[in-house]
Amino acid sequence: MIQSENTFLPDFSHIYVESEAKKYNLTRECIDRFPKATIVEILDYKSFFNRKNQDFQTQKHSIKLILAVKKPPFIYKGTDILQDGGFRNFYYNTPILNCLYNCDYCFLQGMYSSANIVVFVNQNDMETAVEKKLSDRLYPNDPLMLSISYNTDLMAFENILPITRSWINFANTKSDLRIEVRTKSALFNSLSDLSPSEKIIFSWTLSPERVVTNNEYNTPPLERRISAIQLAIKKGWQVRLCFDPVIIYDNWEQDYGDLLNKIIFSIDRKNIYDITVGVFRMGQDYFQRVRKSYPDSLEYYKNYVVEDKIMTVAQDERDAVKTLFTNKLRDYISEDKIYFWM
Amino acid sequence: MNFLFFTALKVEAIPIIRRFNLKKDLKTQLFIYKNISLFITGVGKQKTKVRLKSIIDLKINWDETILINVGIAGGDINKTKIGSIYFINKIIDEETGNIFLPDPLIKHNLEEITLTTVLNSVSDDSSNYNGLVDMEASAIFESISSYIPCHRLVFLKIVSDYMDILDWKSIDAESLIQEQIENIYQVINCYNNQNLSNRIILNNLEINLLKKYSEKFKLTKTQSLQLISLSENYKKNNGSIDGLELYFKKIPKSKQERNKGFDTIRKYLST
Repeated sequence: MIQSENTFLPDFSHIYVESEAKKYNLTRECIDRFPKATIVEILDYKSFFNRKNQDFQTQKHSIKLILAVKKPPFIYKGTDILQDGGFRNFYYNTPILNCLYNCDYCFLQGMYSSANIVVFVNQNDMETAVEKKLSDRLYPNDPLMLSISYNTDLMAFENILPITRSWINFANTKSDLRIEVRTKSALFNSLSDLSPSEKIIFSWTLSPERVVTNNEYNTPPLERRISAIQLAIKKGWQVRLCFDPVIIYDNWEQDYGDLLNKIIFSIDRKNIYDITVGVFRMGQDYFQRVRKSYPDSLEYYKNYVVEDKIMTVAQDERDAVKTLFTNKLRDYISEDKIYFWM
Repeated sequence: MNFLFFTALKVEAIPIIRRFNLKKDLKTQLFIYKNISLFITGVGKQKTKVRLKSIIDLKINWDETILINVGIAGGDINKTKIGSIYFINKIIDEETGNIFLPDPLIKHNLEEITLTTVLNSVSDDSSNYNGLVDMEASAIFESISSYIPCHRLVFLKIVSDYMDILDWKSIDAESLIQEQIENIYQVINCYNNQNLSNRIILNNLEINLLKKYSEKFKLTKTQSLQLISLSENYKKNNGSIDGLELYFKKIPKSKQERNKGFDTIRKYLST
């Protein structure tokens, strides 16, 4: 018998479509985008996506697409782990579940039993929910900050479905709405024709090349992310720089020091909205779920401390991260624009 | 990888037995040769479910097993061709309405189609069914998917009729399967991929050794679980837990001594 190696089907070889989702434009757009895909009709995405005995990491070899109709709630209050960036009306929504990338420290692999990607095609329902929340937000004098890329990297998907563009266009019609787009993508050029808007913050996660290679599988290299940031800043968009999580390993200080030198040298501080810095942290339940699947990543076999049911690195390591970033960034950006999540 | 074939009928099994030189093991009722085995489930959902219990009791190493259900099926006259083999991507249980979805991760050269599992054979009306019809697949999926992840469940069906046959004995199932045996062989070659097996850190020998250590030291349940977890960390980071043996040489005489000893082990494994 022959031992097979690269025999996995390409990503999106199959598109699973909820019966109810067939009538939506986004469904048609998506199916047209992948004319060779096998279409399988399903009744309810949850019975497929949430089923037991799936293997997240094996499925990452051949990710399938699921097109579904989102049921309420369409908008969620921000959690303690998700940085609110100082916005008191801080919410997130989930236009897409799961990610094209496969960062080994990501909570999604503990949150979902499947690596397949769910796209919710009823964008209008999500927009209506945001409008409603805008009108009854807790702090009426403050804007509402909506993170649209919490359970995915939405911009990485932009060449497949222009969902980030839709949300930017939507935000531009609402005076009190701000949108944060978290990403590691280098696909900013797919949005570069849009006029810059102060309602939008693009949050780019940056890591040393070693972390990109070892921990952030399938993500664009550091240089391409920096180029995307440079383009966004040049066009006049606001950019948040995220160093989150800072991964601790032998010589991490040298690598992150070099990274910060490079950022200071190559990214114009003008239009840097703020900087967030964090360390590895994951809810204990998600962490245990990931660990039970015996991932190849070493991140789940390190010694962590547990604080309020969160697995994180030891206090002395958190202090070292804080010291390094404070010292390095002191002359680059004012201290009140640096947020530490640790 | 290990391959476990399921067929409903002996005549469906014969070409597979012949192709892979399988020999009957009287103890398990499986036909086996090296990493390939075959089990005959019988016809119909009920019989299949009962027979599958015996195979589940065999405590097969499911971690590296790929299940392949091969059988004949009725086909939609407009969409299928008699003698053709299809890869099933959706199974509908007609009785319950439940839908079962295999997880096709591996490239293959077969056409994909939906399969409906029915209670009684269909011989007069194919228009109600979209794709193929059989009598076992949903029962197999339902029973086995707790043991084998969906991406290692493969259903291959060969069209024997257009749901218009009254005399089932007139179908030459053996020849139909025989005609497709090389396609079946191709599929198992594609699935012979180590990336599909369950990932493990500690092997069975190591787990048994840790169990022995726990008993010898009379570790508490929490300590035993910690020992496994820390050993996984240690092996992942250092490649081997062989050095642990030294710490379990001397049997502790009291709880205090045990706890002290376990503390030393914990420190060793945390380095």
